Amino acid sequence: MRPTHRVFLAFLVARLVFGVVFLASALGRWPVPWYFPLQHRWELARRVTGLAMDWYGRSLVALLAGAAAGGLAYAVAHAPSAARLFARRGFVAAVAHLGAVMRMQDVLFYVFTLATRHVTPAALPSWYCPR
Amino acid sequence: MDPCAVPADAHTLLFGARKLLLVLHAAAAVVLIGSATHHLLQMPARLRGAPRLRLERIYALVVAVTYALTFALGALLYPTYRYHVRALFLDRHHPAISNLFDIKENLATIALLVALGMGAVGGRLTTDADDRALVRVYVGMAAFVAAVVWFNVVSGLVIVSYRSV
Repeated sequence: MRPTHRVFLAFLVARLVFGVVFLASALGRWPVPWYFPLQHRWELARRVTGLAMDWYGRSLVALLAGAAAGGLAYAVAHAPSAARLFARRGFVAAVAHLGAVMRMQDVLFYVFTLATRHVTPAALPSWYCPR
Repeated sequence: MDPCAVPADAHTLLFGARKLLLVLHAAAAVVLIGSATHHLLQMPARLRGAPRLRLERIYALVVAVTYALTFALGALLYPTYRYHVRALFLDRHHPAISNLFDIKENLATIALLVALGMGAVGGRLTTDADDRALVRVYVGMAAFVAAVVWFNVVSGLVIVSYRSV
């Protein structure tokens, strides 16, 4: 397997696994690290109360899963038997197409879910000045 | 004394550096949108089988580096936006703009690995038969990253026009 194809395959596998985890973690409400911006603290939870952000944790979990899968694919592709399978014409393209489908599912899910979301305004603190 | 001064217990991460972070985030985004667009403009030549490999490699590398930089700067600025802009203003007065920001941040995450992958393989695919199927994948990646970057830059400008950090 050519080095460029091996690197490409690793990124395509990473993208595919990232896409699955990024979607599943939101749909399945996986426990992820939440950041509380006013308390400057983290909490591993499925859901929290108060002002907190799950974007860091959800992104980190999906990116780490993608990086691990991509690294594994890169390493496995070095083995002769795996290299023969991966080098078959159409294999890398098939992984790419799966990843592209997953990516579009992520895009559609997040755009639709967030565009139709109803937000609840937080209480205004006493020091707040309208500007 | 400033009657509207934000008390210390309402300071978010890097609150004092928020304006500088915003300018750096915007500056990195300017380089990113330029490089992503120029990279995409190399794709017709790539599809014709006459790629400009050096230009493609340079633009892909610049896209990967500036994407990661813009993403990191945005992540550092995010807690200040989340409380001082979104929670105290946008959620109350412009909820659709709050939602637009969250769409933007999630799209940025979705395209991150694609941009980094482009940086790793950009300008390295040849015109061989073995690479032909991958070329179409690569062109798709370039189009996706450019579309996300354009959407995020335009929506970022719209959001900042309502309220900034």
